Amino acid sequence: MSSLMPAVLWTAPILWPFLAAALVLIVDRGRSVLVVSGPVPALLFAVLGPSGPAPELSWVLLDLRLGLDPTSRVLLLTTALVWMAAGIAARRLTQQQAGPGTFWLVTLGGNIGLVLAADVVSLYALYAIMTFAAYGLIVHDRTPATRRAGRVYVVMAVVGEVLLLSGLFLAAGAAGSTDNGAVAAALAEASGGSLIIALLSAGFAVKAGIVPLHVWLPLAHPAAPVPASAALSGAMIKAGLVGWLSLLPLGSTSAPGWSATFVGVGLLTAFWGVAVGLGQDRPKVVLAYSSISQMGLIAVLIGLAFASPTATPVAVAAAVTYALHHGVAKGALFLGVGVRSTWTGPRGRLVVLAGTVLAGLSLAGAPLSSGWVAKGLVKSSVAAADVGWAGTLTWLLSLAAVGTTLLIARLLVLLARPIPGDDVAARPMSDDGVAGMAADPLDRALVSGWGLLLVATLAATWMVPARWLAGVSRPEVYAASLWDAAWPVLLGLALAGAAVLLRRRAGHAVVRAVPRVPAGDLVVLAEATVPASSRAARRMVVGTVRLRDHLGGLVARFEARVRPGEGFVHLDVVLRRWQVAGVLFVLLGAALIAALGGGVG
Amino acid sequence: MGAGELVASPPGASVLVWLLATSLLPASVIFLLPEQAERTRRVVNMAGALAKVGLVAVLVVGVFSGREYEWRAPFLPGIDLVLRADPVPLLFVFLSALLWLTTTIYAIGYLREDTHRSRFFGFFSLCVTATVGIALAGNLVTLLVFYELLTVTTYPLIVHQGHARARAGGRIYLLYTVTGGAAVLVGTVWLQTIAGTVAFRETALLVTLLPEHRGALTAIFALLVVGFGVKAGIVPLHVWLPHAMVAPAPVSALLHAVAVVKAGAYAIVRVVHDLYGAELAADIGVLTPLAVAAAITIVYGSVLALAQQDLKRRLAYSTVSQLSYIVLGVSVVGLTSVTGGVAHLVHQGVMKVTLFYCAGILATSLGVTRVDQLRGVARQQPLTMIAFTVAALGMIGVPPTVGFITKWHLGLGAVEAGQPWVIWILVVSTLLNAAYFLPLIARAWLAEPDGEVAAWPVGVTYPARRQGWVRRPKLRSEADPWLLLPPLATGASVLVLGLLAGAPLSPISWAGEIARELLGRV
Repeated sequence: MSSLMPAVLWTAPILWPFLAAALVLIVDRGRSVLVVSGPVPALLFAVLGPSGPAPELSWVLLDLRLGLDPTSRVLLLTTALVWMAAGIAARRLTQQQAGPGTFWLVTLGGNIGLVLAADVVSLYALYAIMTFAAYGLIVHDRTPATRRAGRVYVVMAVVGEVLLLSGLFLAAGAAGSTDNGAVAAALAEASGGSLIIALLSAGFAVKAGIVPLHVWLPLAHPAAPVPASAALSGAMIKAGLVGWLSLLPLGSTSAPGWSATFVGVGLLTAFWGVAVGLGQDRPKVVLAYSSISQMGLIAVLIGLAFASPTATPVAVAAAVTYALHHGVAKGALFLGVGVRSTWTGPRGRLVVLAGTVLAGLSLAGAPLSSGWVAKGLVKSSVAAADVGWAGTLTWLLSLAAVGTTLLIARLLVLLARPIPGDDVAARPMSDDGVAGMAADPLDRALVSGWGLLLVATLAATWMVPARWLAGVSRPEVYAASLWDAAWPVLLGLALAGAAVLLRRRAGHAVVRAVPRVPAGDLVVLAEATVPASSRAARRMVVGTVRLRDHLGGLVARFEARVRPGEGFVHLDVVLRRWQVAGVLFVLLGAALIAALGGGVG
Repeated sequence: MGAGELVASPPGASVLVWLLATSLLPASVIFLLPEQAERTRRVVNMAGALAKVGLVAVLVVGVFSGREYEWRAPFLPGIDLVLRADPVPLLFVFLSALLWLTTTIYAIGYLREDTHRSRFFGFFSLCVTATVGIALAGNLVTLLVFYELLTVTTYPLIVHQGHARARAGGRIYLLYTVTGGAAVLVGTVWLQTIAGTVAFRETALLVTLLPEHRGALTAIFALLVVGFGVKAGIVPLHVWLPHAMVAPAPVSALLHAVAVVKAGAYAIVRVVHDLYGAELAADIGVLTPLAVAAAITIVYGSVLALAQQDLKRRLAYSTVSQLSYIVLGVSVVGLTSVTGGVAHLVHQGVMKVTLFYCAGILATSLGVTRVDQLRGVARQQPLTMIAFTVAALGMIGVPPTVGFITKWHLGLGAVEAGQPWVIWILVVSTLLNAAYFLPLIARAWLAEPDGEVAAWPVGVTYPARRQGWVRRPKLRSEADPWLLLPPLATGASVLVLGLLAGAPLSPISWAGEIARELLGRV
């Protein structure tokens, strides 16, 4: 019994969501309660659970091991909190049918499990479970647009899985163990370590939406129902970070090459998200591009953690703090989009806009916001990394904050537009089907979930990291640090204001002159080549078939001769015609006689 | 050694004989039953299948508690027929017994309206008898005898429907397998002449012959592998397999999961590891060609599967591909890799049997035989499609299914054995598997049914195979329990065996023990 209790304690956060998923399929009512209860054990475990490795559960998968360290504790909290708030908000989605709740809970179970996983097999398994179950959430409404999103999602997901799996084969082979820690340690020294690091980094980067592997994200995150978008963009997107932190050899040696790669790709992603996101017309797509941009910043932090062993602890702390901050803020922003369509009228509009300003300012890192705490840690990481280009990097990061502010401003403009149900002159909001729900009565559950995340946005980074992460303190409040954080936001707001004014003055001509990139950007190019590439693929397949036909020509002719009748009589006739077989049988008969007559040696 | 002089068998021998008898006796009874004696036939079938499972359980418990089981009888002068419950055979006979049980249940439901059921079930039982014989064979000659019996007893099942296409399929099947059998025969006799009767697991004997007979041993290996490779569907010997798809669904299921195709792969495992032994096989340099042939087959089978529009043919080419996972695993010698290969005997079995059950249900109840007809079928038959989906994901290797467990061992084992090229084969195979299974799943669950399917009444009537329309008042038109329960059971095992892969009696743990035994022996 004494060994059973810890096992139950450790597995409950993972097991309960899957169990609840099964229950959702069976029960007729109370589905939404089950959905909300899914992350509760994980939430409790994040706050109260023990640290360190769990008792081994060798029966499950290939020797399942779990563990929790301070950084993964923060990630567990983020995951559980966002899923829970989104689950509350998802009441309408989950209470009527079994399907959404089931996919929801399975995705959630995978997401929580991968944070706790301490061996690569479980990590990969739970990661894949999450990935494939999320497909069910994304294609929920089955329209052609969402099915396209789902298709792009699955293709990229499979590519990611394959990258990951091949990297894990090589990594586990090099490490001679499946322990996350052992794998990470082996990667630092293994010959061919670079290939493995590249495979693993890219595999996880698909989930994190790193350019150019991000193409699925602006399609898939907005395609899902609002609460699911919040969970995907707030929590699931961090699975890539979990993977990087678990398996990459951070902190063992300084790896300038990988450092520069991650920083470079991260910055590219950060600005790419802003540039493409600004041209979007649908609030959820703008938010998805903002997520891409923010994940780029987290990739920059991984790059800093690679820079030198001394920088690793603070960069990792910054990354998880940033993940927490972005998780709750982005979750709140997504739910806000949903609230906008259910809480109509001037009052609702005002509340939504106010909440969005709050979460948005935090996302941009405005002074004293929770994002400010996270950005303070980012600055410390840059300092600790002690690289030659630190000055440039600081400046670029501030510029990215300007971009974030602009994206939020874009979102506010879109949300401020009147929608049916507002008392103002009705002009349909070009949103993703949410507008259709506008006539619905106020969805109180959705508003509650949103409120919960807004509160978390205010409090989370002030409370959690300093308490849980070693060597992390709250940033000090003094004028210079406030101004450092304030000017990008002010500049962003000024630019946004200028853009709005310009549009008022110059009308739509200017707007039309701005090049618009469709959601999913690069994937549109890729899709343009689909007919050609699928033709090529088909040619290849047909070629293979022909090759078979050709090679099998002799066989076919031979088969054709065996025309009438059946059974051995005819077979015998054919075999007699077939000289080779005939010779074989003669040989064989001789051999048999020799064997039987001569005895054996 | 005079005729009739029985070799003394150890006490456990009767279990082995009864294992054969539990399908041989039902076969002889069923042949004598009149066509309309449905109930009696059902009882005999089920009794035999259940008894076999029970006996296998006894055998497993016995072997694990250290008992040895062997039965031998003189066959030819100086050559005994030997049945032995060695580790690999135990695993295979376990699989055969369980899947025979589920397939029997399924076949009873499937052929409810059919004619010639006595003939069918008679040969069906004979086919299993031969498979169990192959499983338990203690030397190459015994293996050959049952292998040929299997060829013969399967033929009536393949041509069961009796039309021209069925007979053509059966003809091609015979052509290939009989020729393959001939190659095995030559190899066996040749080996007999240079080494005498070589029992499985006595690999030391062949090692002593190596200096003198290196060439002969290599040639014999090639003959045996080519001969068994016909049934295992190794390219280019796989041609018969898609043609044999003309058989009724339960036959295809059994053929692909346990009997014919699997028997070929199983025989190759035994030749490599129980006859030659990994060291000798590596020494004469036959393992790398075998691994390469398996790799080519894996990719080739998947590419052709992609081109198939007929559901069962797509599954058939998928089998061609998947079977070579087993061959690949056992020919890339290393503990992890061999473990994966041996375990895939079971893993591939439960996955593929599920897929064929589901394909059969779709064909009989909805008339869906082509992949483009799958649109929206999951609404009509959600349980069937859940089983199908799980098994298909298993084929792709998505965790936590058994397919993933295999893939993990093959990939990791390849790295450990210093042959990382195998990883790229697995990558290509995964992508191709995803490409030919995922669209089916998406179509079944998400697409709107087209006009044809929409015309099917929900849960009231659907076309029976021969005799017009049968009323079945049900909420959805899910197939009846005889048809539905087997795929649900095997589909669940695809998940559970993967999820609990680390448990002591899971296929992979079992295969791990086997691999340790196989590789540690020499």
